Amino acid sequence: MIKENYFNTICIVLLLSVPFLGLILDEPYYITLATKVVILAIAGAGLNLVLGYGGFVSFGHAAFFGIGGYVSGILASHALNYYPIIEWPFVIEGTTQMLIILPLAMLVSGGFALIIGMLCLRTSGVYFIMITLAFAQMVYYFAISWPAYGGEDGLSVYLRNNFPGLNTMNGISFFSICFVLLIIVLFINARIVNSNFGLALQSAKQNPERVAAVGIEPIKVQLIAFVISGAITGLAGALYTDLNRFVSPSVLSWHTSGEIMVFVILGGTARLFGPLVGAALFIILEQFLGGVTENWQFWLGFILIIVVLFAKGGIIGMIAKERHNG
Amino acid sequence: MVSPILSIQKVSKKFGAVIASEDVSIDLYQGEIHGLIGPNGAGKSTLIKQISGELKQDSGKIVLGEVEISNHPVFARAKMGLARSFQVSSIIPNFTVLENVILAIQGNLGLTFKFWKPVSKNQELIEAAHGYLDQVDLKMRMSVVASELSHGERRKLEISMALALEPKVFLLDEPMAGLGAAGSKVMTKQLAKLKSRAPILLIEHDMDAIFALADRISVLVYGRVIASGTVDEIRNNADVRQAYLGSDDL
Repeated sequence: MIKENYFNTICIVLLLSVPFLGLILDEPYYITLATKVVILAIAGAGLNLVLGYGGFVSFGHAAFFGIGGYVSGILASHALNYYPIIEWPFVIEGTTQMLIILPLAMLVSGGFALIIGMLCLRTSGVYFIMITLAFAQMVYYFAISWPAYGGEDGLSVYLRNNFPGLNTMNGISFFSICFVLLIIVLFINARIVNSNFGLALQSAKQNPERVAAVGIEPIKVQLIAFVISGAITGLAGALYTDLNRFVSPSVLSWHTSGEIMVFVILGGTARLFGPLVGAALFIILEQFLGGVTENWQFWLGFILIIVVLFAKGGIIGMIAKERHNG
Repeated sequence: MVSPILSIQKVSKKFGAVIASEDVSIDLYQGEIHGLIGPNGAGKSTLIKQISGELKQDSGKIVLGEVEISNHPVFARAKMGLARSFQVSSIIPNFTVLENVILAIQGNLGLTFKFWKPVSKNQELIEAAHGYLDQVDLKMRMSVVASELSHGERRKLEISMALALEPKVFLLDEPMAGLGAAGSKVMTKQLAKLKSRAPILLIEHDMDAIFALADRISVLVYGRVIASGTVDEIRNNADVRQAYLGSDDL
């Protein structure tokens, strides 16, 4: 057993070593894989706020991931094709500036989270799972049937968006942007979790009646957490579009929601680094088992069952036992 | 004429054909403990839930201070000064005793929507919590995770959280339940101290305790208040004796 902080540091060092290994061995694919892990970890970190610390299972986070992805794709495709998004009553041009696209992606997905959250948070348990799933599927079918942005075929963006002072088409540069954003997101999560708000959020998970009895409205706390969560997952979606230079309705499908959940549960719910560990393990399994057998997802499922049955705190819970709340 | 702090006016509640409360009126004045007794199923807990806002009355009014709170949700009533303890202790199990009390303080002071400063570094909050824990002799247990507390300690923690709300009224639902003789004595002393802070509406099965503590008592049977008065009046009331099966232990 080691302290969770040491374990987290090791994770960071390992994660950083992969792209540089890729650089030394001249295997740019490693850099892409590491970037993918980082982006998916951001998506998971968003979900962890509600699933881990808030205790409500959202099966609809693909909506926020996909909305973030489409915000990025739509803005960039307009800019690259030189036609404005709307011309009337005033002209809004597309853009390829990440510094505009990323906050906007967070704003839009956070806004959707506000609407979906207001409608869903009155329910709980299975109903909450189902209604968040239903909303995500609605967005999915909307994207499929919207021909302006590729419909079912998706939307290609032939260049990555720009970041001042960096060539984002360079793998290491893009990885660095994503990595720094992941660290910022995890830092923000840590602050939130340990704040008065975090205390109320985690208390509402354990005993909402008690929280209401001390004068705090549990649903308001949960709604704010849901919005922050949606915005963070939306940020990941926007980066994912950049990574692939492509966005399609498949990022909005319920598979994506399920995968983001798997990252969190595999790594350890309500563990700060849980989503990172989960996403890394997921990608490793996909790569290595995927190379051996087509049915790698069977083994993923197998491992997931083992983790859920025998390691309540996920991988981090097995390796680093430290008191955590919730 | 002094006006009551909490006024329950003709509150009625039915579940289908079952009458849980019928025209219940109780006034609670500053500085008193008002005992609420009655046989099992008399509707005591249902009444407490209507006062705290967990259940909505079918008719009647509940007034706290000058404000009618009949339609306010639970958290709003708590924020306005109704502090309640639960029949089965209700705490945040995976948080420490200290964190439980801090939660109550932040509820009272409206600090919940602070997202940045770690609670563990907020000396002001921590010291305030120490104060509330000291008042119930639980300070030495403050770092213990609440789920590991003994039954009696949980009761104390609930009282401490109620104190931290700096309430106008305490609603205490059987605070002595399961405490044993020694524990009940300690709690009786606690409650006697508590009433100087705010009046208490006290539901209790322990007759000795309630006759020792209460200034006035209301007796609830089948959802109706059959008698209300001082301890002596209640002790000598024929209807009350009848309700308690003519028992002599009153």
